[in-house]
Amino acid sequence: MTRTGRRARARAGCRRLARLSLLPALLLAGAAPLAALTGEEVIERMERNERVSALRSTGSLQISDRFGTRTKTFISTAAGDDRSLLEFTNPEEAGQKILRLDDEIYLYFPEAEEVIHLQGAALRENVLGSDFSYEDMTAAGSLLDDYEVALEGTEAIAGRDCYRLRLTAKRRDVVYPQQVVWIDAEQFVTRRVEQFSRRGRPLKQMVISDYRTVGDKLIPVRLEMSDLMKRDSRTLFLLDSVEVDGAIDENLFSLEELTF
Amino acid sequence: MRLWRIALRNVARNKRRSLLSGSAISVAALTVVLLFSVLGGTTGDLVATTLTYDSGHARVRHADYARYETLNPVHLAVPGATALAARLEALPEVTGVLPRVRFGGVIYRPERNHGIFGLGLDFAREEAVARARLPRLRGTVPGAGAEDAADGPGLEAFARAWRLDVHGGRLPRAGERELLLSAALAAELGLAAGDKVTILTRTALLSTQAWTFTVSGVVGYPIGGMRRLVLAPLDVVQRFLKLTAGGGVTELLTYAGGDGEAQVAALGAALRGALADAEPPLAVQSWNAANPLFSMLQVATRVYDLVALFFFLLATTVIVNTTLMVVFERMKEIGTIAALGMTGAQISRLFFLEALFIGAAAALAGVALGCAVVLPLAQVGLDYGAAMEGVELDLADVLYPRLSVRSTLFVFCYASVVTAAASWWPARKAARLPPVVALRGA
Repeated sequence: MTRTGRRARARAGCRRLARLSLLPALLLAGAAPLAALTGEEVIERMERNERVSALRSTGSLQISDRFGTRTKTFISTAAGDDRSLLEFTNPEEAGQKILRLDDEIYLYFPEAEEVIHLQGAALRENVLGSDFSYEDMTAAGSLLDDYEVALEGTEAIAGRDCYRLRLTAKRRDVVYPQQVVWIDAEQFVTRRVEQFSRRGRPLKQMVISDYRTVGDKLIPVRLEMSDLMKRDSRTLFLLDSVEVDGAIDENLFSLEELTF
Repeated sequence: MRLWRIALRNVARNKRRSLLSGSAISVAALTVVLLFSVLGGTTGDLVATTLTYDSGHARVRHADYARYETLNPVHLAVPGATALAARLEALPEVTGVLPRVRFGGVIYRPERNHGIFGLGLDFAREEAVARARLPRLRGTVPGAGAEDAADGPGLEAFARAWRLDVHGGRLPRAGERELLLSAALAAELGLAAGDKVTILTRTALLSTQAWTFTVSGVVGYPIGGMRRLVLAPLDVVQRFLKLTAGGGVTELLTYAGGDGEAQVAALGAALRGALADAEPPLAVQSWNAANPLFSMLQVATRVYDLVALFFFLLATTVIVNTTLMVVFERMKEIGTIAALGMTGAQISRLFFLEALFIGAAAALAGVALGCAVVLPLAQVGLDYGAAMEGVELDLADVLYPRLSVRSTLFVFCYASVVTAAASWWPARKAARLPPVVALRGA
């Protein structure tokens, strides 16, 4: 090999080395916006976007299983983390209500002479045969109160970069002992949730495909829940009208009002 | 002297030896009689249970119902059941039709939830069909009609038809939100006749519904698996479950003129013919196919037959052994009677008769002892409810062993014949001994 040739090879080697040495920097630069936050910070930013102090909405549940598809419509009112009232308006369940007060759930049926009080394991039962449990439909507290959060990395969900977070329950009485949550890295909204038993068995899967901007909040208006313990079952949750942070009559969340 | 007299005298000559041989046969016969009686009682109980509570002789349901049975698919109903029941009753093979609605539900209590299963019934019709079908009900106080089912005798009559213990109250009234609760469930919930209870269920529209019912009566069921059963009037349950007008039901139980296989088969064929064009398609299921325990019992019967055979074979070895010992013990005697002119065939018959007498007497004693044990038990019953706590089988908690004349006679004949047959080889051995060898061989 000639001297010129050796010089050319050396220059090419240096350029390659320079490119290689730039790669980590480029990678770091590219990853910086996604990795700069801790898991808790990601959850906090998501909850700042999604959680509201008061919410009034109307919507529907489209329940699909081996027996076909049924639609249940409802009016929902929620205040804070621990008070919500869901009233069904479709003809089959017209007038049936679900009231949540703290960790207690009360079911009102127009044709029953007593209010059914649910607590403990009963909160995990399905609402109207859907894939949502009473807990799913009414819980609104912060995930950080119930879970330890570990940031596992990033993944693309439906073409969007998302943080992948593993949530592990802090206490045994939390309904889902483990969850894996994908949070949109740009919009800081939940895109997908998978819930597991304590032994890691998949229980439910939720995909949120649409949000509506209301003021400075992003409210999920289309999400699909699949109870993985049921065969061929999924429920589409759709919100039609959404009103955020308006005035809500606190008396609404009482047993007297429930049976009135 | 006749051979049988000599044989009898020989049997009596060494009583201890005869008793030893016979006791093995007696124990085997006793055991087999007990086994067959328990099996007979179990089968009889299962037949009664299936016919009354589960399926009748043949059950008509939506063709897809069985596939989703564990999910309580109330929406897979038989529509227009009132008209259909009348149509089926007109068939000559059908002696009774019972429309029923089977459903599941939950009773919520703060401490825990109580899953229940319910049946919507026409109480008066149930009682009337049972009265026509069961000889034991003939001559009792007639069952009350739907209009007067509110009074005491209504519940008493229904309880007789359904083999229930009445713990108090009355039958639910048609049109009223009332129900009969099992004593076990009433105790669990702390309820008594007159109290109210709310049941949450899934309707035929696959919607959720809760109603409050008044407990009109409390009854005890014969089967542990029925402790979560509630009974309510058919029309009320149809409204509760939002079943179609015209009497949608989940099943129609039909009855033939008797329990014979030919009658039930004719009933099934007639129903299938009548329902061939039904829309939605309906399925006819005969009673022995409706309860999987029947196939288990068929297997159990075969196993019991083998057990019986094993016992008799065991007893047979004792007989063979004893007869052989007798032959060897009585060599001189054999030689003497042979020298006196008794032929080989006669000697062989003599030993055969001795074994037959011992076998027949022992079998008779065993069978008699078996009958002496079973007959009182058939009245008192064997209560294994506590042992079966938590096991939900379609079998009564109290088993009444049933003595079958046929199987008892079979046990007697079988034991006698097997014993006699078992003596064939030693008897033949004795017959073939030359007199000189026999006399010297002592």
